[in-house]
Amino acid sequence: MSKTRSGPPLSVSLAIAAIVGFGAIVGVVAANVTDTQPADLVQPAPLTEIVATPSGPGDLLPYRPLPPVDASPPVAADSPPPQRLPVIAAADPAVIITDPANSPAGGSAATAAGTLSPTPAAPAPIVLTPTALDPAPVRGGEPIVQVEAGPSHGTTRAS
Amino acid sequence: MARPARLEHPSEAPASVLMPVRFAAMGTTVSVIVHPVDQAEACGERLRTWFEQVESAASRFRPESELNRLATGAQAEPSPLLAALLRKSLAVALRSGGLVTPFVRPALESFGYDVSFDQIAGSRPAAGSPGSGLRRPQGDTAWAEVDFGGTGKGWAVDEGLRRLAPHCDGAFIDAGGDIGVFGPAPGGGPWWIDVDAPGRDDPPLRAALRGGGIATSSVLRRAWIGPAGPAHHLIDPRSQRPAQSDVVQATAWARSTLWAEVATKALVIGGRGMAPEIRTWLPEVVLATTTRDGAFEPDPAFREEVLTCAT
Repeated sequence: MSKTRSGPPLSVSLAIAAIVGFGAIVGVVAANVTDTQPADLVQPAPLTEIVATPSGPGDLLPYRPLPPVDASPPVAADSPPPQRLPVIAAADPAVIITDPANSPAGGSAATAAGTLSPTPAAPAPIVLTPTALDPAPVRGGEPIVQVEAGPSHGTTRAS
Repeated sequence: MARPARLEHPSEAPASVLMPVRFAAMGTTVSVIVHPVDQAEACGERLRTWFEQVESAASRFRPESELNRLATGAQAEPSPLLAALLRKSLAVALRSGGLVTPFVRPALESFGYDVSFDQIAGSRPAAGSPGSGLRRPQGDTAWAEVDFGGTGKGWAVDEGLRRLAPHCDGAFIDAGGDIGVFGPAPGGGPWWIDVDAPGRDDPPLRAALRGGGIATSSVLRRAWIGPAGPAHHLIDPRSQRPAQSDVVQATAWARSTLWAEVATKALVIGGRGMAPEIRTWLPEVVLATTTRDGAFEPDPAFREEVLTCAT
């Protein structure tokens, strides 16, 4: 006699569990981010919105190229250094992360009775406000030939 | 935890030969240089306290760390410190397209990196079979997937500099080769940092920094021989295995030590072909790579510019 498993497939259950788990962790973080405002010594620049869409519960942050977050065009390897711009201290703005498990766009993963639906809706994208990512400062160095080389203060190495 | 070394006669130390204050933290040695020199001891103590706070919260090697308590469910919510570090790590993951992510703890431990290398050195050969020792807490929360790794160390350096800045004119923090600087070096010039490269007795270049951070990542350190063969600590999240790119070591300068660390990790994981993409999300970055054939290839800016990110 064959066994028939009731309820959703195991993979779906695991998937939903992963989504809820991730939602919980980002929810907890979102609840705490207002408590901390570590300042970055950089000036916020206008950024385009970035939306990272989880492709699956086991791959919540899949690798894929994101569009440039800076409005400026990508910098080629052989491009001259950009002009020096003043950089001021600015508060690191809070991150707003949509909880995929509770987002209306994400659909309901559970019925009112608490049972898992067999085909949960795709998780909602994790949306970060543009200012949540550190804006890039501008490198503006003087030529090293104009500076007298001094003794080493330290060494960068893998540890 | 070792306390920072005391300077016997700090006021008598000439600026050119400032002795760093050193202490052990995060499985490595942290060195700090500040000026004026009479602030050295107090700043060293501030920094030691800060690193202890970070390690107590974020270490996966301390059973009673906040991270492990969250992983097992013994603690419900993270402290502001750990929440800030996780938020920064998530921002890193998003900006790097997921290439540098904190969710690699299961993969690291499946390849045997389940105890600190201090313990490995003390209890078993570095090239011995992995496993044993502390095990990952058997929690069912997403925190059990988190390992902050070098991101946490870079962040600790950056935040440490913020804590020292009100008390000195210039500061240099070196956490096991991940270096951040604030202000001018003693005498008003840049901070000069040697860049290590594998297989070379002498550093191939000396970079000049007036700000930001510089870091190095390598598959040649924190590496071991496991059941599946050679392994190291830089996990490629796409395969959940130690990275196998054409880059064996990378150094980067960026706006902060954290972002320098992220750039080096992305380069080692993604390979030399990843460099153009890294420059799209980190335009100011300056890179140097050592490839599997031993070639050391630094960006010209390392030799030509005093690297500055703020004026």
